[in-house]
Amino acid sequence: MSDISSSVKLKYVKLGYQYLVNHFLTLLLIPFIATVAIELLRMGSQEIFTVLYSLHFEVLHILCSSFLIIFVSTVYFMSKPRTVYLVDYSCYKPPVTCRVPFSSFMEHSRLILKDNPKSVEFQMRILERSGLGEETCLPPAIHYLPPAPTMEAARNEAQMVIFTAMEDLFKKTGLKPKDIDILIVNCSLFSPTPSLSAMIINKYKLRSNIKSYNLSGMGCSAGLISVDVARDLLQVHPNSNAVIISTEIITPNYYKGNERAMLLPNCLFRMGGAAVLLSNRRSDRWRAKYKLCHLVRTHQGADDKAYYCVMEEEDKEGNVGINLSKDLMTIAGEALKANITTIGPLVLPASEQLLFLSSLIGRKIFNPKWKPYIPDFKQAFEHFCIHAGGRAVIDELQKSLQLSGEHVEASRMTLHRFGNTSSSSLWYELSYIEAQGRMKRNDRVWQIAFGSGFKCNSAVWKCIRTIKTPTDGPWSDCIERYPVFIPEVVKL
Amino acid sequence: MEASPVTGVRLSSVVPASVVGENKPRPLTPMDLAMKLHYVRAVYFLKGKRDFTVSDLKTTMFTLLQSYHHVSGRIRMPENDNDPSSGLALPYIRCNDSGIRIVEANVEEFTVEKWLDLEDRSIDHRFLVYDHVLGPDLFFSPLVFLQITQFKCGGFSIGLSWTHVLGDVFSASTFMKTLGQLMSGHGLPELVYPKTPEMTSHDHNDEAISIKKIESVGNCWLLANKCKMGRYVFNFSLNQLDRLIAKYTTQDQPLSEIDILYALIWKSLLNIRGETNTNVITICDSKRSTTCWNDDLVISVVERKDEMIGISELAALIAGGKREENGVIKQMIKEDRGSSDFITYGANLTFVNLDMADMYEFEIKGGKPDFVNYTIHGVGDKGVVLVFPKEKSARIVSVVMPEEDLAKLKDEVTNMIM
Repeated sequence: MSDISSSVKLKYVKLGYQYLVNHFLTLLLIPFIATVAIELLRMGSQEIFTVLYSLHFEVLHILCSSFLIIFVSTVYFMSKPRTVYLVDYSCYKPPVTCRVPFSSFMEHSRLILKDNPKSVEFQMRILERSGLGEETCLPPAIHYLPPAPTMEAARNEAQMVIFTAMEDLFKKTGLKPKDIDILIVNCSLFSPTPSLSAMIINKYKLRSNIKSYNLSGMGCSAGLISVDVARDLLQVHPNSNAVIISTEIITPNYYKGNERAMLLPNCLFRMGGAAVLLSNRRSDRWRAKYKLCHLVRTHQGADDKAYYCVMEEEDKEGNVGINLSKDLMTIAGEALKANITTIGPLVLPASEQLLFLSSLIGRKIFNPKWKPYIPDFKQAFEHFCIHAGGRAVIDELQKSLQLSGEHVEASRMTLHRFGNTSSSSLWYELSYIEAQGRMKRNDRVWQIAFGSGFKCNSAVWKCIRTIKTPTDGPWSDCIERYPVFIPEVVKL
Repeated sequence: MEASPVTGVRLSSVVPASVVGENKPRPLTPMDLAMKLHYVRAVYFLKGKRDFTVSDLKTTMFTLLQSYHHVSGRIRMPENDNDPSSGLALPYIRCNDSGIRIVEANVEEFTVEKWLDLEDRSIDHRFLVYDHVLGPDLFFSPLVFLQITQFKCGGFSIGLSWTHVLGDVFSASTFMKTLGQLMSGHGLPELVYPKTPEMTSHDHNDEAISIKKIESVGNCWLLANKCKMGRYVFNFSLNQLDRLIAKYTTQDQPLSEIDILYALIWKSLLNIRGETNTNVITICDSKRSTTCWNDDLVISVVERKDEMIGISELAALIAGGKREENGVIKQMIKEDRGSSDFITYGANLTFVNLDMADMYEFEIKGGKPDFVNYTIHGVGDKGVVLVFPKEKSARIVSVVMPEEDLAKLKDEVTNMIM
């Protein structure tokens, strides 16, 4: 009984402290305004006028002061960074002909790797614990026994994913292809010539003075890197919009060997893609869903261990695959810490920053053995979109940031329904939160993505209009079934 | 034709379009186990250019499999089962959405017409249907293989290999018919799964003579034949049938065409094999003509007495002297508890009555097949005879027999029709 009452008391103390520190200025200002108001009321209008006349304001003074005020405010508004609005986005939903149920994936793996029973066993064990569901999708070329990953098949997959997502985006936003000013495509492992951005320009007959960029090799965090590039470009170009395509083309990257460390991506990576429309136009403010508040990129590449932890290389037989090192989780934790250290001061309320600062000072000066204070990010954000890189990543982040099951639900359910779709998974997760009807005006969303290199990028968005549950979107036909319970191990 | 004219073979899997099986077990009944080692094989030929492609067929298959949970499943043996609570002693199908295997292939040298002009109809089943068998890896063996072969003229053949535990020839033809209907734009039908049938008890412990007990085949569900089996298709036109009826029916003994055809073949084989070997025949009928589960089959035997050698006598015996053995079969298999295996087709000379449904009802966007060839794979040494109608204009008799018997059979039948 005393435990409960003491924890309740502690809760109220915490709440009181937070309210006091976060609204410090307001709390200071209130007595001041109150005093002035009482004085004014006491003086009455006659006395006020006499006081004003006694100040000897001349026309020149008034003109100069107003000119100064106007000048300062103009400079302020001109030098303020342009707000970047996210008008809308669309996520690609693969057709049912690409569906890969658990049992079918295991059967194909077994038939392809039949000379290596140990590798088959390993792959089965990963799949059982992966957190993927029965409706994830692989491109058509991978459904063949053995898989037939030609360049043509890869281009077909790219066209299927990207064009469908773009057409959906055009429909949702009423955007005309000729109006696109900036086009950024990010696809890490498939980089043909001409580029995927050229492919889009050719298909939709975009303008000849379009600013197009194609990012490749930047891993699963490339989606937020594209947003960063778009944001910087939108500062330079007034009255423009930018379309970002984030995808990963699976066809050419299916690992055909049997090295265990390289089999993991086969089990987790699935088809997916997203198209996002950003704009800095004032006129789009009324129909935009979100505005970009912060975007923080941290790169751990200077550290050798971080650089080598996700490495594309050839195995002994010459098959190309992605080698994931065993300390991937540790490195991800370090990268996250670096990112949090930068983003914390930008988003955390004053109460948390004060606590963190005092804990830091305490550890440095008084006692290094004190436990480091982990700021409570739940106070800074309502929603979290953690890149669905795998069950282990989500578990690790949930633990480090002390998040509840509901906060990571979007990530887990996206992993279950769509698998790891690489850079576009953040958009599927955002779409999940909207489909569940949880996104309200003024809610803040934190998107965190990890990628090879090793990078940790995060973006903070603020919702600027309450979003009605969308009737279309990748979750439209299955959202009633979610959230689902995902067992620890799924038996064949 | 010795070398295979089929090139460009590519295998892929097709699964149900949505989650349907949910890993539920579908137990195999004793009647299913009586048919365990048999496979229904069918080839449908479509001449000339059509307005659908191979990918259309594959895409439609995804939708079709949403109705057929058991077809997309895989066999599980009770000892290997990871789930101890299932409590089943016989093998069962786990409906885990694994799907069926599709084979895409090409035949460069022939058009459909040239192919059908060739004498030997066994080439249909040697090259245009995938040589599918369950096992040795039962966990991961598909229950159905579908081979889509494209010919030089742009026409197709669709070769189906259907495990008999899923259902009999009617089930296979309904599966194909539904595929055709879906391709033509009709809706998806609801497949009615039967409830587990009750075991009717029998006081007599007779041995069934329609089925034969053989040594357990282990994990590879294929029968090893003592001699090489051959296939042949007889085509009986309406005129020939009328003549036969006129020849062998008498006023006081009206006989059906089917009975006369059965008697004709039986008599021929009596002449070929001698009288001691062919005293018993098995007749398979079905209670329904659409999705026929193995429990809807009616397996009967007809035993010949020494004096009966004429076709009319045999036909009359077939018409009146059938003895149903379903109950005894189920009893025998249940008591065996899976220690040995059984065969039905070919245990004795077996006749399968497929008269109720027309295989030629298969239709894609108004286009009917030019030729349909059904047979059974994995047949015992005594052989099997399938009789089915061809669009009300003829009767097809598809025969699987040891090769040496088959050569003589052709002559015998030709003689008898004259």
